[in-house]
Amino acid sequence: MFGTGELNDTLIRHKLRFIMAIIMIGFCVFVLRLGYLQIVCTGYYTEKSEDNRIRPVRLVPLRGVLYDRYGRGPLADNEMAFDICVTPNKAKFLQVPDKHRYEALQRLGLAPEAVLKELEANKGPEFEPVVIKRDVDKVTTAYLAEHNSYIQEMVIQARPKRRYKGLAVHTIGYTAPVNESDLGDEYKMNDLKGKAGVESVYEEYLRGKPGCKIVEVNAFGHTVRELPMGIKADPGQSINLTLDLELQSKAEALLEGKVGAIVAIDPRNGEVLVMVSKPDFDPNALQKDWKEIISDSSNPLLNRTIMGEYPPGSTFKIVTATAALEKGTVNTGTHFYCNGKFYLPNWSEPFRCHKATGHGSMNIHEALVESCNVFFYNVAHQKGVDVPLMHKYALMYGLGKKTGIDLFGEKQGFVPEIGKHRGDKINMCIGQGDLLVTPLQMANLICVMANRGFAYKPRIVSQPRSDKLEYAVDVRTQILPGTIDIIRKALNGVVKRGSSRQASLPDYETAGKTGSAENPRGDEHAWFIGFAPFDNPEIAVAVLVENAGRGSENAAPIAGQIFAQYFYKGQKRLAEGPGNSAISRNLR
Amino acid sequence: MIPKGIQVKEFDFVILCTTLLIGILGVLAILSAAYSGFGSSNGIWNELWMKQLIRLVVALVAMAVVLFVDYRILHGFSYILYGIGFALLLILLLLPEKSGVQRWFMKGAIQPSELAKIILIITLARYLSDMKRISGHLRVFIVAMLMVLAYVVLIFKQPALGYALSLIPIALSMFYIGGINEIYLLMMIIPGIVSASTTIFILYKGWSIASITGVTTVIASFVIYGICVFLAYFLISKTRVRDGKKWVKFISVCVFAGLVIAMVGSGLLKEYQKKRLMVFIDPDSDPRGDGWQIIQSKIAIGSGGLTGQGYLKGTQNRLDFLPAQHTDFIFSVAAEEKGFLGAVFILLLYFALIMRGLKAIDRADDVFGSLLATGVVAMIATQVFMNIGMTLGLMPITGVPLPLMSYGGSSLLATFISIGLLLNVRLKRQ
Repeated sequence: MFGTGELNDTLIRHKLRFIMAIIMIGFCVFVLRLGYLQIVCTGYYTEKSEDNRIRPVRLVPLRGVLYDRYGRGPLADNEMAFDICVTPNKAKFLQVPDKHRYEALQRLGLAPEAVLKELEANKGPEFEPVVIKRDVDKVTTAYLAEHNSYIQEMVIQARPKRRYKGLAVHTIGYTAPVNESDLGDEYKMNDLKGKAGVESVYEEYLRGKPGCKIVEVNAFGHTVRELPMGIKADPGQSINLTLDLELQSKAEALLEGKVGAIVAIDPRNGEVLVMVSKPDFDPNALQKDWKEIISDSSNPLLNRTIMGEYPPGSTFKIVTATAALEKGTVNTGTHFYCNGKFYLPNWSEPFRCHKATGHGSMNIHEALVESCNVFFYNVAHQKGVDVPLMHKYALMYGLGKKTGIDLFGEKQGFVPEIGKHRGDKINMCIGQGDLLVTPLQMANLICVMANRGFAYKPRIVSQPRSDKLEYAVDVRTQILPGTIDIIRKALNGVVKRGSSRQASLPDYETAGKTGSAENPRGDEHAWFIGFAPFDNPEIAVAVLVENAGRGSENAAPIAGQIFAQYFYKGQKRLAEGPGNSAISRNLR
Repeated sequence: MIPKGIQVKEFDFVILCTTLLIGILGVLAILSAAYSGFGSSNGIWNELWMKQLIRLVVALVAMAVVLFVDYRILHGFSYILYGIGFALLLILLLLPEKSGVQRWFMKGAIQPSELAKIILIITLARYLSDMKRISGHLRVFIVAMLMVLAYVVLIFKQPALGYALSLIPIALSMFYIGGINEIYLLMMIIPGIVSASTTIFILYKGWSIASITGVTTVIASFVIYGICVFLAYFLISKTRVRDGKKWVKFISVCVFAGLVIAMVGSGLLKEYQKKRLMVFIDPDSDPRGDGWQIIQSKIAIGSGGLTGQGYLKGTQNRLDFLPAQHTDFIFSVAAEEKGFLGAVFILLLYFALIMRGLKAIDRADDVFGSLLATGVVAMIATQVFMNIGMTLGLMPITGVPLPLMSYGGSSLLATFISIGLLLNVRLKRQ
């Protein structure tokens, strides 16, 4: 019966037996459960435990370093950047009040709520640290490392970051985190990939081979120790560019503040010594400045040496002269009279020479030296010299097609094949009209002159690391040596007596041709192409300054300074500038 | 110095030894738990295991004091103690709120909930022993129940659901031994079990229960529960045990009452309490938050295998994947490092302690002593079941520490004092 209300030993003992039974059942359940977890399922849970603590960490290889032709520089190397990460399941600690944590968040400029929100959206693995702040400065990193025991949820991750010298920025290019489309076996999230210039062209040599280390981590994502397995990362191959660091920095200084391009090539092998495009950008701050850079109307990202297309102006007269001489319509005895104007029959406007009063009677040598337009108008007006002929020789000089330099994005310019109007060939013969060339093409053209009839394919990397790269490809033209000699002599005359005396040197014979290309956007583009020394050329230069005015005044002096830098390593320049010495010598 | 009239041979050395052994194992487990997760450069006196060892000694002294004072003295003080306990819990509730949890007094030096448990045991023992002649009466049950409910509600309000719930098995076993009519107990237990499981089910199914949290609904539900219970009592009050049909009716009414409570009870739970109940069913529903503890505890225990990963070598513990590894999840640390054999050994120690405690109930001199012992044994057993059940994923997560092992002074002190009472009751006095 229930509810007797009597308390006696027998009854209590009876009830105790019931309680004992319940307790025994409870303990039996626990032992069975322990057996299930620890004996039946121990394999499963051991695996889970290892998944927790053992993590493969990708080792990002150091990217190959870029040096100049003499191993100087480095033009691009690596430094360590620090990112702050948080393991998603420990992120809640960010909200725990602590003076060190508060200080750290202040320095990082982060609000815990915002971070948590971001992490909530991130559906990654539980223990994979997520970057909450990239590129943290060294002082803050040191602070976090020092106070790590108070703010355990923050994990510092080091990663290599590209550091650029800031020279030849277009040529060298830049790196950026890979796009989603690149992700795969080779690239993982946040890997760097060359996005422009040499960084991009030689990506496969520079990037190296990633490795993997196996580490034991704690619940906060901190590495406790490295386990003795894994594969080391192979650093990328370093590359020597053909650029000459001193010459390059001199050229950059010369073009600073201007818009334009300079290319210098060693004509003996096609190695590019200088490649300047201005305005440029700071490749170290590209990510930060990106918006500003892409909205800049002067287009700093454009590598004007290979992507800028300009009318060649008078520099094209070399092509016209070649065509006429080869065709035989002109020889050294041919004279035309320049009175400053050229009247095309039944053409409303006269074509003008840059010297309004006229040059008088000119042969081809004088016409090139003085850059007389009227002489070339007359040449082009002759029967046989027409747009297709000039097109043929322009192509022979490498215009209208890519030079094949080992850089991406090269433009091919434009050389008209047929004239639509009678005036077209008159315009074309002095480098106007629809003609478009890149500074590199013009440097290549002057290399043909320097080499007396051939040029090597321009290259930017001097030590090819692969058989795929052709070494010094020789591009021969079919221009007769006689023709070349006539023009070369005239080009020497240009710097000796003509418009470009500032491109001459006291101890070396130089040669060149100026150009002042008319264009619809303002002042003429100033051109100068030239080489030195005259007999055994070592350096060929193309200088373009956009909307600067006459080439003789704005481009030729720059080339002169580059020649001086090349031959005197900048030592003599201060004592007697090449321009001044040339003038003084002329006066003598 | 042994007080007169005590037969030393009746002193239960098994209880003393198991208690000390568990305590020392706890210190060792705490040493391992704090081995790497917490800074060890603070000097040996600041190490957690050292603190726990000192507390163990202090608790042992407290136990000795309790042991040498006749427990019958408490009989006279019990209602005053009850008042003090009530006041403490009330003050705690009225204190300015700090981070939502008010379980701690003075930076955790005193945990009133622990003290309240012992006081409740003493008071219930006093009341039920005073009423032993009429303990089957409804009035006794109601008064005793109100005494318990006052504490349960105050502790539940802190909020400390686990502690509050742990009082109920203690009370029930004391009622049972104390002679309260089992019908009343059934009228609590059946609706209790039904409502608990239904609540979890409702939460798991994600059914909206927000609409039935209004005060009127709560009152209405309790009225319905009251009617149900009355009906149930009426159904079998004049019945003999073997009248099957009436029992079926009784039980169905009780089940109905439980369902009603579940409807209300689930609405009364705080958001985090609901979540804890949910992850108990499905830890993967919130693997980063509340499911985390269950998942990691099971991984720790499971990866221990038969013989364990070795002392100080448990990776779940060492690398902090186990949460609260030195307090609530100390058993997981031991199970990971000592394996199945070690874990079963610890279970056996607790089993021995509880069995000897049950013997003390039987051998007590008087009803007051019996009931005191019952409360102590029930308290230890409840906490062991709640805590180890939680680490094994068999029970929902409640912040109930493992007696004698978990890091924490209040719990250790309270447990040692209770065991002191148990030993005291066990002593035969002439």
